[in-house]
Amino acid sequence: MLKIAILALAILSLVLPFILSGDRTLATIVSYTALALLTMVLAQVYLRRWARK
Amino acid sequence: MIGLAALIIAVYVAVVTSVSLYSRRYANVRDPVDYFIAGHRLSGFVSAMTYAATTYSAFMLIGLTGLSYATGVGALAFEVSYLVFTVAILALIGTRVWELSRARGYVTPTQLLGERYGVKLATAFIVVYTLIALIPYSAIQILGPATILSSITGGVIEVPVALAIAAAVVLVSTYTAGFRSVAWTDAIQGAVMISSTLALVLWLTAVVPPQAFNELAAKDLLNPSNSFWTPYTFFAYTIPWIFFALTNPQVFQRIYVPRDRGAYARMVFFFTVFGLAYTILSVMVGLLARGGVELGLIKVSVNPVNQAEWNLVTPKLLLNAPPALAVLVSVSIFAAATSTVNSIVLTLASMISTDIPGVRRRGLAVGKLLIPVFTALLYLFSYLRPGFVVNLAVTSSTLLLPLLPLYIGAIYGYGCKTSFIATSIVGPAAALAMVLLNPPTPIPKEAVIIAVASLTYLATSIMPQRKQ
Repeated sequence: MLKIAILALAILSLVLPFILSGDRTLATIVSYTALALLTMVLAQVYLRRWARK
Repeated sequence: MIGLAALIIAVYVAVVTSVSLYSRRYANVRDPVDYFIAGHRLSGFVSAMTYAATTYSAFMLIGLTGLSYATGVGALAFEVSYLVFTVAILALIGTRVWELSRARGYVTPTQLLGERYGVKLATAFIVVYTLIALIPYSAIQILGPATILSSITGGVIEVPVALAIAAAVVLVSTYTAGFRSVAWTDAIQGAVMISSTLALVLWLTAVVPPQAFNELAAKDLLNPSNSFWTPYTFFAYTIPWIFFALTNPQVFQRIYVPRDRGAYARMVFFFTVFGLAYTILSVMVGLLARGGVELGLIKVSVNPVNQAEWNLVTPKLLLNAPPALAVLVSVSIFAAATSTVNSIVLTLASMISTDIPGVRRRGLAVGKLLIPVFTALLYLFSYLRPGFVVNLAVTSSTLLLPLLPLYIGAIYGYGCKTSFIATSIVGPAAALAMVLLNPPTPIPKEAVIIAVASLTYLATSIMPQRKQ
């Protein structure tokens, strides 16, 4: 499940510019920062579990 | 300005030299595993800093800043997509690579290919092909800071002199203690990169008021899919980079070095923090500079429509900055470049000394000999002054794209000798044809290259199994 979520976020990063298309605020900077931070958190959860093996 | 520039550069060179020499105390320079990958024994933090400093090159504060200045916030989307994919790859695939490197004692990425597929000649071909693909990428790394240093000193320090200083830093930080001197100096250089870029953003925010973003919005530069960032352009830029962690040997090799699983997890954490911060800061420099120009507060005489001028944004912006800050940022770009090139030089030397038949017996000696040879070659190539920074960097990554199915197949145990040999021939041929001939394609040529290489690999992997 965690693997799928990380992969989904990576794919989302490729389509996000087109979801935000036409936006003229700073939404892109906020969205991409949030996306990167969320990926980092999920990756760390996955890696910490892997490290305990 | 000249005196200040000379002083700061002298301090920088002295620090890199001292750290390199000090790292030698902890290195066993007679052991190839220690010399080329620090004996698989680095801490998570140092692993992260060398991963980040190797990945993030002069491209960031020259190419990405210029791209942001000219095309807007879509540049952030492109670069963060790379970061997110890299974190995903490091978590989902890198963990398996790390386990394999422990189980088999791998030193180089191509060693994984050689052992998995068992074809020495094709592996040697991949080594040579990688060497050829990385020359343009490396050359721009030395050229970037040399150009800036020459610019901020009004041409007093000429580009060839600046190139020589960069080459000397690369040589010292690579040769002295191999991976340890590279990693330790990378850690120092990474700190210089992020702190000076932060200082540049703070200066820009003091000079440029928030109204600048209204100007950017009016020019459609806050729209991530504006007239420049069409889906075709976005994917053409993004595809070579999102697989960078697997196709570029200098970063692939860094997966091998954390001393344990906990260190690996910390490496990914610190790399993500560094990458996100450095990306946002580099893009903010471009956006704030453009806003300042539109408001008439900063003078950057670059035509945003002319792509050939984009890499001049940062050098021209620095002419507006306080001298000390301008020099500091120039040195940070120097650091970004040399910390990438030293890693490439050492990785290429390790690949040739480990994976070329007949060389392995004298591998360490050959590897050490190749370090000054490669450094001299990169100096000469950068002296020829190749074209626009972004396009060259992307070209290099594009050439390495056909290796993607080979590495993934080797990591997960798919494929066979036939698929390795066929993909080693068809993939690079397709990549070279796309780069040199640049034919019109309905989808980005990078996607075509991956498709051709992957289909070749899959088709030739399935065929022998059917016969059986």
